[in-house]
Amino acid sequence: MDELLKKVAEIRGMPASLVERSAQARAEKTGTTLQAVLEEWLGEATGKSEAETVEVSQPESSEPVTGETPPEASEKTQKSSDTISTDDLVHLAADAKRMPTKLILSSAQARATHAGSTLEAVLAEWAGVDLDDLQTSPQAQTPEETPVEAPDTEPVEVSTEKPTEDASEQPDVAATAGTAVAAVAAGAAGATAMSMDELLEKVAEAKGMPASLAKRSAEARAKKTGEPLEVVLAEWAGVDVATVSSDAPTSAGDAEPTQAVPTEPQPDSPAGDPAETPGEGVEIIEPSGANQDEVETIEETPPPRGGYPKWLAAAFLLIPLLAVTYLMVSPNGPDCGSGGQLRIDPVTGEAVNCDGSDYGETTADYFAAGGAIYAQCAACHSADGTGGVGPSFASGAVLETFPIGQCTTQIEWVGIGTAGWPDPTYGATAKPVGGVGLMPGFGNSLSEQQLAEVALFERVQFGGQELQDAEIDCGLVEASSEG
Amino acid sequence: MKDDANGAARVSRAKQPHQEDAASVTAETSSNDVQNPDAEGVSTGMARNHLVVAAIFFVVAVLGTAATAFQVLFPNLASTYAFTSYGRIAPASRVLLTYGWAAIGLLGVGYFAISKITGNALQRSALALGSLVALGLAAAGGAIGILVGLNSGIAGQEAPVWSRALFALGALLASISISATARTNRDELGPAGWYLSAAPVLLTLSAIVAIVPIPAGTSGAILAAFANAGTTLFMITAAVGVMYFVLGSISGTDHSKAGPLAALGFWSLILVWAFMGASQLIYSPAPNWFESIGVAFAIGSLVPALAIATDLGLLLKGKVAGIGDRSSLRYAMVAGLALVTATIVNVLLTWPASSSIVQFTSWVQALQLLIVMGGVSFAIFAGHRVLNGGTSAESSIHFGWSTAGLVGATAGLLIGAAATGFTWAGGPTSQKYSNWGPGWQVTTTTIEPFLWIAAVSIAIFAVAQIDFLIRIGSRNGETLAIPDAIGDYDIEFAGPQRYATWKRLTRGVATVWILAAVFTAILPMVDGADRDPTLLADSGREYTDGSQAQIGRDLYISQGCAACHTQMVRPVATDVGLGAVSVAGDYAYDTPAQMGTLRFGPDLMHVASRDGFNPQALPSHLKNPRSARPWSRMPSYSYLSDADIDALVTYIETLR
Repeated sequence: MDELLKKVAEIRGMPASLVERSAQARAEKTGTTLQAVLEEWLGEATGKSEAETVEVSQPESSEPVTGETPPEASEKTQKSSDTISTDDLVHLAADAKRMPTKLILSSAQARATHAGSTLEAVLAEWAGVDLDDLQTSPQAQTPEETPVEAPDTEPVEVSTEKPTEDASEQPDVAATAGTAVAAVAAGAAGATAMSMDELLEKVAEAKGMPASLAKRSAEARAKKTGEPLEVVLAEWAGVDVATVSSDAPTSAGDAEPTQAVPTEPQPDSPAGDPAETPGEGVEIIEPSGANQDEVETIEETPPPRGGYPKWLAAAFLLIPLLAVTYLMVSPNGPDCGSGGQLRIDPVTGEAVNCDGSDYGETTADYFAAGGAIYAQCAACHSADGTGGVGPSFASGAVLETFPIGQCTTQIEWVGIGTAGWPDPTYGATAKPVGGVGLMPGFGNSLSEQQLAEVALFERVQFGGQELQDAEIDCGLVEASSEG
Repeated sequence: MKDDANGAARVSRAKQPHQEDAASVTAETSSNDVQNPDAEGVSTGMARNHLVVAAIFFVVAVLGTAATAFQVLFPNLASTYAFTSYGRIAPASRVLLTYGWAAIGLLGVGYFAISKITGNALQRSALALGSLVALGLAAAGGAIGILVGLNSGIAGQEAPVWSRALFALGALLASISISATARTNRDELGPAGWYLSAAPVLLTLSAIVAIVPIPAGTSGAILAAFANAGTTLFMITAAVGVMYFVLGSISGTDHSKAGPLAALGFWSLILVWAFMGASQLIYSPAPNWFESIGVAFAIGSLVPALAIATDLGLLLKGKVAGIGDRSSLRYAMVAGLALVTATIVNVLLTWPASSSIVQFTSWVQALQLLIVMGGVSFAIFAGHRVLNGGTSAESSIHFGWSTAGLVGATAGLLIGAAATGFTWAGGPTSQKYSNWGPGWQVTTTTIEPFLWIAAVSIAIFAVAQIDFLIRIGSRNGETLAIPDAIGDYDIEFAGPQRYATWKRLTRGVATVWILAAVFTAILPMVDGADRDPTLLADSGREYTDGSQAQIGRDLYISQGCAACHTQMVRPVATDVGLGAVSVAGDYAYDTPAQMGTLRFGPDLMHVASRDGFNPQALPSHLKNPRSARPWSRMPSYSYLSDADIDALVTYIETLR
């Protein structure tokens, strides 16, 4: 059965699901089995009988059809429209309008008498039969005023006008007719919007103005001249109108299946993440302007939800990006990181600075603190360390007296001064105590740490010792810490 | 790929499931009325019952909350009786708020809304009634259980296990009824329908997780956090659903209308908040990758906030002028603002830099308040307006007082939290005071003015709810005249896409939830690299049954000490000086782990090994905290017997 379906579908150039439906309708009608109908169709097709009645009802995914339908297909279709029986049409129309067959038949009859067209034509239209098909099929009298040069606007007018009239005269089907108008209008608008975009681009290119501006101008022009927007745009773009809209009939066909296609809910269809599905509906709001009536209908309805500012789309991308970046970088946990996060000492379990020193201890300030204390020394040794009453520290002199590794001696010396120094000389160069003059001991006025800080300052500032070495040298930082 | 107009056809069909002939089409196309004449009666009655019950719980809960807010300021207030002690009233009020008010109230509005949305009568309404009974018993029983000392000791699930089981049963019954009703609509449900039919399912799932026995230590905390996140997810989801329903109804928008923004909002909301359990354990001994998930998803929660707020804004765009009932609009808007604020508050609570300041402060309470008293309550108020009607005058009094209370309490708690956090950070940095012992005075003094603001505001809020209860109890009003949804749904643009039928929706939601369960519950629980008991755990924290320390620990739990004290030292500047940073192995024997979520009192992780700890002075400190420390906010435990006090002291002595 599946194979049969596939074959028929292939020959007819329509999806299997649709073939199945049509066949089912036919089978029901004629009282035969689905298989029989399919076989019959297959036989017809292989026998080259005019089997291309296919456009009758439309596939869910119509793209393959548009793609596959060869140019001559439409001709065939035209010829073959009479192969659909009236009963089939009634069924399809009923399905499309979601009305009982009896009612649709009587409505269609009334409509046909009123409009002076045939019952088949009305039904075909309601069923969503390809409009090309309708135009050329002998019985179908399509509206007179269809401009030949812009076939792509036809479907819009055709499909909307009729049911609208219909609605006014037959109140009992007004609602469904309204649905039809709207749906077809939507389809048409969608269709024109599709080709419109290309057109607009061309016009924008040709005229060297932004597409939006081009569109607005064209709309104004179209309104003034009463021409369809496409025609205006096509003129401006210098494109042949006919070629521009050549794809329109198929596009219009795309829209129609809405009504013909079974509305059987398919909860089992792959549940793609809706969040990722782009808003197909969004484009539709851009009314084509091809037909003023439709445009108005469309504009009256509120715009579909989801037309949101573009910057939001950027935010929707950026925020997850930020989150993912965070996940990758992930500064959480016991490792040193941003955000006031400390390291955990593996031995004590206490939180410590990232360099391993106790929290709250700072390493950068000793030098500055020493500099402030040095102000007291500057009276004798001068602010730049070149000496005065006291000896000079500059040009490394301080490191000659107290070489690297002997900061503690320097601290001792500063603390005790000349008066209390136990030896006759001091420092590595064995300078005589009191040789230059007397130096007060600062041990009483300065704390041990302050003495160390000022020694540090002198050694780094005037002696040129590396700060970190000097800090260890002067006992301000423990050598064992990895800082 | 469904064709655009195709969607429209489906939608219009969905509206007329029993369409017999063209006449019915004409009659009903432009009307949003229910098909079944009983439909409105059943669902409205059910919703009203629920709202009355919920309102009773609500008033008791907010009065309890207000009482605790004043107890912090006047610690001796009603602390002579065990069941009026702060440590018991606070968690009991929280249970009433979540089980009694949020769950029952939101489900009540949900029954009404889902029936309106689908156009069918509430299905299995007997189960809905059974759910009301179960939830009511769970709420009342849970609260009373905590008051008489049956606190389970699990953060966020303090209610006794039988109460949680009743709650799960109630949630299950409710979700069966709502799901059955949602299922009658075989096509697009629309945003309000998505949220409201997903919410009870999520509630059921997390309520079932909440009755799973808690494993020891960190794993238990992870599991509890996951279940708590599920409850929050329910509250937010249902509140957003009610907002969509209310705003859609009063603005005359078809409920089945959905755009990509609505879908994005829905799915991202479910996704991020299902994973939010991880964000409750920042800086905890839980695996680091798990905490990072929390941060990442907290950042991600800005997406649904932005999407939903924008979508609701677009839904109202150009229609505000035509809305007859301004009260419902105002309520819904405050609910929305509260939830957006809650999202931002949650991000700051989770982001490591700010978390190191505001974690464990009243910031946590502000988040709860914004969700429950803000988003949830105002959504229910809005739903109540639609359901019960009432004059604008009487609702503006209620609206004004409630909003003022909410804003004041939120502001007080948030600013007070920041002040507290910076105080904690300032102690170790300046080395002028410690964040425990006598140094705690700095914290209590700093936060005092903000506690006043919060307490007064919560009291205002509570008084307004008494008004609400009186009105809801005495009303036999008519359902607000909702303008019929404009019949544009069967015109072209109704459903450009079919986003979610009931089946697809529940499948998606369940998938997300299971993913969240795997990544934020199962995997982090399995990942126990360093869960072996540490030396700390092995030295006195084993708590063998019947030992003094174990009796003391039970008292610590039943008196609700964890409502104010943490037992967790984090590797952040604010916790320097509190002792060794906590690792997973420290809690190896702690079931349920008493890590705590709030630090109204100092941390107790290593309290017994801190300078100045004197077990001899502890009994008198517990009985009369203000004898030695006049600034202390701890309630007096003079109602405990001497034996109990001794046991408690023995327990505290194990916290070395």
